[in-house]
Amino acid sequence: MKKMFYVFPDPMGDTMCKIGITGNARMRLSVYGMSYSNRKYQARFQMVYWGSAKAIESLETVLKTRYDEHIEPSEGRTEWIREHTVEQLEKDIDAVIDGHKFKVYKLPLDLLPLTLDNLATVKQYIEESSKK
Amino acid sequence: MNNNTQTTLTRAGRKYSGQNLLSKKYKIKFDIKPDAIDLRTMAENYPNGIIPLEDIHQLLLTQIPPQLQKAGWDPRHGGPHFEWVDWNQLALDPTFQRDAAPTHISKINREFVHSAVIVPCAIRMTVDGHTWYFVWDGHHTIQVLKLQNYTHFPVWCVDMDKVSDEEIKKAGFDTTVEGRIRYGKWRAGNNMIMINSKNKRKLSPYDEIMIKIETGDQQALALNNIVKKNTCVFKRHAGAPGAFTQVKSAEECYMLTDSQGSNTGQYLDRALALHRAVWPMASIELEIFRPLAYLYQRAAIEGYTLDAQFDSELTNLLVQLWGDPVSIQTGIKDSYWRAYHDNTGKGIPQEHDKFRVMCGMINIYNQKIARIPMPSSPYIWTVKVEESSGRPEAA
Repeated sequence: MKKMFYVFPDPMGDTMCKIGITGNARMRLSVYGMSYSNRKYQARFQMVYWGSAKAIESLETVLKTRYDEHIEPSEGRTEWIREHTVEQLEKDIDAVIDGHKFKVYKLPLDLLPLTLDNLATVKQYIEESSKK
Repeated sequence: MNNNTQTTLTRAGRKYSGQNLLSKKYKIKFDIKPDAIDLRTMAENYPNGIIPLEDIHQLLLTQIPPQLQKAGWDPRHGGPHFEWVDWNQLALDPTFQRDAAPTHISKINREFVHSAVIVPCAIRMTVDGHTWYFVWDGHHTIQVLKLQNYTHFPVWCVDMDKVSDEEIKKAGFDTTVEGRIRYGKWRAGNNMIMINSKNKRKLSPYDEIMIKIETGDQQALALNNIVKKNTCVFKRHAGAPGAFTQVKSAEECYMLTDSQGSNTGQYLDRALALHRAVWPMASIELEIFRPLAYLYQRAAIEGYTLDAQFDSELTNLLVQLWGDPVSIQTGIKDSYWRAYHDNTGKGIPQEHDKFRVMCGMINIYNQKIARIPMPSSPYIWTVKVEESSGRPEAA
């Protein structure tokens, strides 16, 4: 089974990002988008890494420890990283992946951001890439 | 990221930021977690490394629910006190003590030093007109003191004859002479269980190795030299690059010797160097460095030379198949169990993960590369990547 590690920027534009993993991006994007009208906002994963469930879960464990001091201290917000933009996180996560040799792959730029609109294309891309 | 910057307080599944509390007082940050406050790093904030207990206490208060903090009590008036007691006043009531263990007494006696005696605890009670000190903790110690020919015996004592009637009634006993004795036994039994079972905190391997290193134990220093040489550091928690939490296994691998019974440390050294070179940002993974150390030793004993190219070949292959060290060792073990359950493996099934992974490393090298001859693998199977469904999806 393939899973995704995603970086979800703050919908209100703050310099915070949510990091998380999912094996069901449709459900996750739907839940994140549900609190806003579709005309004003569409939930999106700005960065996505994909790989085996085991590799993605290991990556998440390492990153949650790494960002421990930046994680929101309040209940229910333990995936929000303070004072980090998507670009900052991307650079740092790439270094972590390289330093651990995680067998995970970044979605190419033309498939980002991931939204409900391009989810089917992304799924197909991951399926085909997995076979290589 | 420097591990010293972690200051998040965690309690009962909730997280509290300690940054505001700590940033004003401490320049060098340190871990404050429910299971441990990193005192060694905390001490670096003090010019002479001496931490007043009050400072530690203030940090503890951030972790302890307020209702556990009690109002002041002066124990010098009516509380437990220290006494030097004569041998013929000491006694034991087996209702609140465990059996005596001569082997344990002998062990303490062999390593005995006068400056390392924990004061035994007792209750003082008058029974049939004779005043006794009934030991409820430290009986083995006190027997060792007798073997050491002590003339008087140190005791931390509660005088049951002075306990108020009110306190005895409150605990559910009557205030007759017999009731007072029953209360004394109940109190001693409860204390004994609390000290020896409920509230005993075993010294962690991390604390033990750090004490040994900082007090100059030669073997610990040699082990630490290897750890430091490979830019690793002993840590209580994993997370930081090179963090080494598996102290007992480090000692185990350090003790692996060649066929002449010498050169301790060489296999651990090589395994750590490889781990750090291939996965520089990862913490040290137990079932990577340990199987590697055993593999190197096995090769040396069986007369095989595993050259530097072998290290590259093996790790390149493992990285290509699984990637990070956690995925590699769990991947090899998953593959082992698949072969074991499908009955497709040959040889002797291994009872320990370190040997399962070691066999897996030998097998996969033979199956995919086979440039040089390898030591024998007690259990042979076709090592392959198993697909895992991972953890259940969170809502």
